[in-house]
Amino acid sequence: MSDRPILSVRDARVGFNTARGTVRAVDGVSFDLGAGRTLGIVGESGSGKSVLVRSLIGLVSTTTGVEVEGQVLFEGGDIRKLAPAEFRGLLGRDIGIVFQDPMTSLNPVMKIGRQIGEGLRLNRGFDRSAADRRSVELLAEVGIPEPERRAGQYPHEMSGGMRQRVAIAIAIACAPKLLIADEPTTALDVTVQRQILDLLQREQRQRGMSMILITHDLGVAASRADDIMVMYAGRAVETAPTREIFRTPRMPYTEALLRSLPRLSDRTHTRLTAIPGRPPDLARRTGGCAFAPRCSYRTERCDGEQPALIREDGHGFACFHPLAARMTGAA
Amino acid sequence: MSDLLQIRDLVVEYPVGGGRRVHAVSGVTVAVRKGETLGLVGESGSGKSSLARALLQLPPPQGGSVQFDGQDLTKLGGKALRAVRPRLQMIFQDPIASLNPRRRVAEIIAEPLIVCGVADAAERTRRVRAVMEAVGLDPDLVWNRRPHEFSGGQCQRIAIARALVLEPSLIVCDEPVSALDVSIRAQILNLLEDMKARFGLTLLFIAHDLAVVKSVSDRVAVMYLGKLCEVASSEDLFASPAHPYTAALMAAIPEPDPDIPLGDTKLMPGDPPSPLDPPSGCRFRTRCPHAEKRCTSEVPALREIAPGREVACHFPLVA
Repeated sequence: MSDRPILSVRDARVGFNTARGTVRAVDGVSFDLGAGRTLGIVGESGSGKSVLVRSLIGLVSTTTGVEVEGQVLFEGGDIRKLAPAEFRGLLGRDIGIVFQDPMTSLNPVMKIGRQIGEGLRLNRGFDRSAADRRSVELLAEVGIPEPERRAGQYPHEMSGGMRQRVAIAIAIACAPKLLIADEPTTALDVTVQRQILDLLQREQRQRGMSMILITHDLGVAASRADDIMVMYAGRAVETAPTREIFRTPRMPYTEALLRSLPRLSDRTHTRLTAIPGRPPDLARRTGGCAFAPRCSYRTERCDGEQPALIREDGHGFACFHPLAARMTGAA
Repeated sequence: MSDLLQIRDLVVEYPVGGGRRVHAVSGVTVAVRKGETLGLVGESGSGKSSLARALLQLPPPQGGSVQFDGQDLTKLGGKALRAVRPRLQMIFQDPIASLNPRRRVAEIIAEPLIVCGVADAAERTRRVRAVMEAVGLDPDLVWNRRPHEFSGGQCQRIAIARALVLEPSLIVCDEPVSALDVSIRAQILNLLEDMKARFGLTLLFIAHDLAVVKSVSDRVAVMYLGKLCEVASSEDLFASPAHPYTAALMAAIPEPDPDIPLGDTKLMPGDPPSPLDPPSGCRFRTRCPHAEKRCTSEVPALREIAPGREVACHFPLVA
């Protein structure tokens, strides 16, 4: 990546004040996204991956009891310093978003053609008929048969896979530079999931968009992301090009996660290498590494001190006892 | 191995008003052998959960028979059915929703014993403690706690303990790890394997994740829109799928390895048809790359193409 990253996040933090104490859902995460690249953000529920990305684009309400901090540079400018009107213009126009559940992200009482055209009229100055025509083109582009007829339908008249295609059409309508996909296929069946991921990838390549793909599914991340950031308990614990993450994980959590997965290449009744324990309670943070209680490499230092994310040859990991990097030239 | 469960021509339909019906399960015949795990794979709407519930008579199916250890469950009623029920248990997908939030863990696990007439409280306590220990829960720590104090994985352990306490022969596991975090799944899958070995259980394991199904299943049945596509040993099925739908499912799933390229599903574009109005002939034909005229007019019967391999396709991929 020679170019300036399209998105730079520095020390993002999100805290929710609850009766049980402050839940640090995101606890100091920094990353860069290069133009035209796909960053997969991988983590379990509660790891902070969705909250992180939603906070970047102002979707975590900053009412009392919620603290959002950090710097978010989009094409070099800090979007958290923008006036509300400028910020709204950025969302939808330069940044498109696809959510997990297309039933709740679409407006149930608005025809889908109008929903797709809404952004074009607001952000790109289309008049109603031009927006309607463009909506039909976009429906065709995302693979919806009979786009003219479908444009006049409501979300409930479509299947889950089609609704997600509509959500993608809305997200790409204004030709954004960055597309954020938050678990876009988790609610869908596997064969439909495949079609939707193919569609996202095709649109991303054709349009040269950058993409953040949030997923808990390591298979989805392996097959679609250029780079991967692994999150655990609100922190980025490992970040590297996709192949490196899967071939030579440095962070014991990543290694343990990969080992625990059943694989089609294993014989039936192969004993799985389970990770003991469970993810920590974010309201009761200890001073040490959040994974330490479940980690087989843990030492005293891990309990008392939080490891920072350090980088070696573009591979970042937050661990005092990282796994060995692969020798150069080894298979 | 003898069959513990024989399902014949099972039909499950739900009326949805206007004289229309959801054809959830349309004539499924399959057997579960004693001591095996039969994996049941399919997408949403394939009827896999309807099949599981119907075989447990929850509620009884609209047609077909369910032979369990020599008795036809569909012909049993009231008392006779209740007498068999302890031997058939179920574990659900959402462990938190499947536990009564107002009950204590010990009460939840003891409830089946009370229902089945184990009147001696000391005996119940003994059995609840034993089964808690078997699933890896510390009785002294969890006894008086309530489900909300536990994570999803721990709740699934409680649900497994509740299913085991009556010492059943067959447990139907309906997507038991789908709602769990990735780092917890292996724990629960290993636990199910251990319990199966320790208590000599037979499992019907329903899931949509093929790698999970392969990991635990001796044989696998694939369902699509209420019909069986294919039944084979786990090794055979994943080595060489005979039904085009099985092949598409396998190709659709991305493996957690960037060096394994994505397969070609060869599926025709479009969504699965509605079970309200399934296609004529072979129900998969609208998405099948090999569909011909015959597939429109003639329903392919499930037939044996090799010892232990059955497929419902006019043009199977394995001769």
